[in-house]
Amino acid sequence: MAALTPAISLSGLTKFYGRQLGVADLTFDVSPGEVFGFLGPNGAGKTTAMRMLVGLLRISSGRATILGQDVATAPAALRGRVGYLPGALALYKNLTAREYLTFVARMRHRDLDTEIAGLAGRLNLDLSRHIHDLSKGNQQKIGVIQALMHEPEVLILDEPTSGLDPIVQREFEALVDEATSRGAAILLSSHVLSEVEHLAQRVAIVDDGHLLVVEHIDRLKERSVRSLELTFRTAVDTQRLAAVPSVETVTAHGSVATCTVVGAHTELLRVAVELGVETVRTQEPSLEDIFMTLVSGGDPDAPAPAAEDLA
Amino acid sequence: MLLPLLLKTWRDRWRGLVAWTTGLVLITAVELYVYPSIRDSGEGMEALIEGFPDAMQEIFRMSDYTSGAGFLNVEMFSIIVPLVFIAVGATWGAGGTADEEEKGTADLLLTLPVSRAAIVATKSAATIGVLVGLMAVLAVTLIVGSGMVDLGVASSRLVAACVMSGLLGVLYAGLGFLVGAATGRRGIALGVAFTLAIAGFLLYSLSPMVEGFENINPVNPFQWAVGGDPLNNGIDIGYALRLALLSAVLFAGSLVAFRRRDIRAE
Repeated sequence: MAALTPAISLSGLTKFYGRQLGVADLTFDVSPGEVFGFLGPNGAGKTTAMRMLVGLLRISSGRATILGQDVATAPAALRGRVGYLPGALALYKNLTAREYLTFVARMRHRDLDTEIAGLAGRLNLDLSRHIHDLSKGNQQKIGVIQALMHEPEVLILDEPTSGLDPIVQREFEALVDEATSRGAAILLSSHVLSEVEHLAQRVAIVDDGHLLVVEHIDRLKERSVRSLELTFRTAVDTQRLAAVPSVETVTAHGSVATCTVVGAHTELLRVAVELGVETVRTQEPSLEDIFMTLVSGGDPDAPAPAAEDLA
Repeated sequence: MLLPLLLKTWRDRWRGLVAWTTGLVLITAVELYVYPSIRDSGEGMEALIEGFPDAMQEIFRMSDYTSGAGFLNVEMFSIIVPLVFIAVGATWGAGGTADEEEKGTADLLLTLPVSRAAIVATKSAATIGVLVGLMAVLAVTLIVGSGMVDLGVASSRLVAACVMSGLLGVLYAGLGFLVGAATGRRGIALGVAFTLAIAGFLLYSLSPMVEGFENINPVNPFQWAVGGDPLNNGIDIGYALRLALLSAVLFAGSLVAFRRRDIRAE
């Protein structure tokens, strides 16, 4: 599964709408078998980039390839090897779920009745209902099924879990795992880190059309500010906690201290044990935390919102 | 041509089609039912029409109202039939790709392994097919009905009139399609097609009376479709070719306009 040829490759991908910038100079690759998270706030340009990849938008400059083929010039047949789930999903509401999916299969020149029935069963979707009678979550299931049913080699999923309840989300994650284990490359966007963190190995973060970082998700979390809540037996000496190099801020209420930390926790925990810590609660950094860290350029004075919430 | 998309496009709007078709058949039936009494009124009716203002007679081309061809021209082929074909054509044409784009369904349709050209071709075929169907229904109704009321117009002439009005519908369908494909906006496409259709209709209708309007007739699609009086003269090949060629240009233009466009997001 070595990344000889990336399944998806963006280099300097740029979109202008007239004079207005959509996205600027996006560069990253997604390998076969990899789930790649595409993160950023709403309006950051994720959808614009994805719509360029699937050929809905013209590329202003730069280049994008899927399975080695330039998306600007590739024949339509390339899309037979791609599954796409749009962020703003719009289905033919007058059809039933089955009619819709059968239509899509026919347009793909495929007979996918078995796959459709199987996926509908796993996602708990009633195929006989008319789409206009289905909730947003159930419509999203149809979107997921049409993207996955032909077992594409490349999946471009724009906010795939929006509207899905937690149980269905878990099933979706299983489907993503199965797709990658047969070698599919998945580009998956979200504005919420927790949606991608147990799926993606690497993420790109965009803001305002610009790429902030491409990084392994674990390293990104390590680098970012997170907060630890330490409960001691007695009132705590905040001076000693604040003296630990990785600690940025300390707030204390009686015997409970909340520290914001960047990087490894080892030293802080060692000191805390010395001071008689009883419990440690840590909060995973949210996308917002990572975002703040990135935008502030790792500025140690940058406040971590999570810490304030705890204080 | 994408058969599933073609069938789906027709199926989605079958109610409207049934309504238009039924309406057209009913209008035809009523007109044909009335015709014998007009014919038999003979000179009385001629005298009545003589009494109408000249302008009205000219606008509605009332010269031989009591003949079968004259009657059908006045009652159906000068206004109603062309406008029905234009209404259906422009609506379907403007909907062509713009409908999918406005509803947001284009995102999934265009990311299937089919080319945009194939989608334009299929949607064009769906539109033209509807007009051909409507044309055929009207022609059959007229042929059957004319036998029953002894209309005295040859079937070939009835077909000719239907074909020319149908081609007019195809032309404005092409116009709506082109604007829709170029802008992604159904409303604009409909507006442009209807505005130009009404302008063409007014210029043609008023041309016998308003100085200078007849100069426009050679390039006015209404002149091509109606001005040759197909009920009396059959299909004017020159006019028919103009309608067909301009339609072909408009549909081909849609393909070019749509092929490289940014598809609208919601």
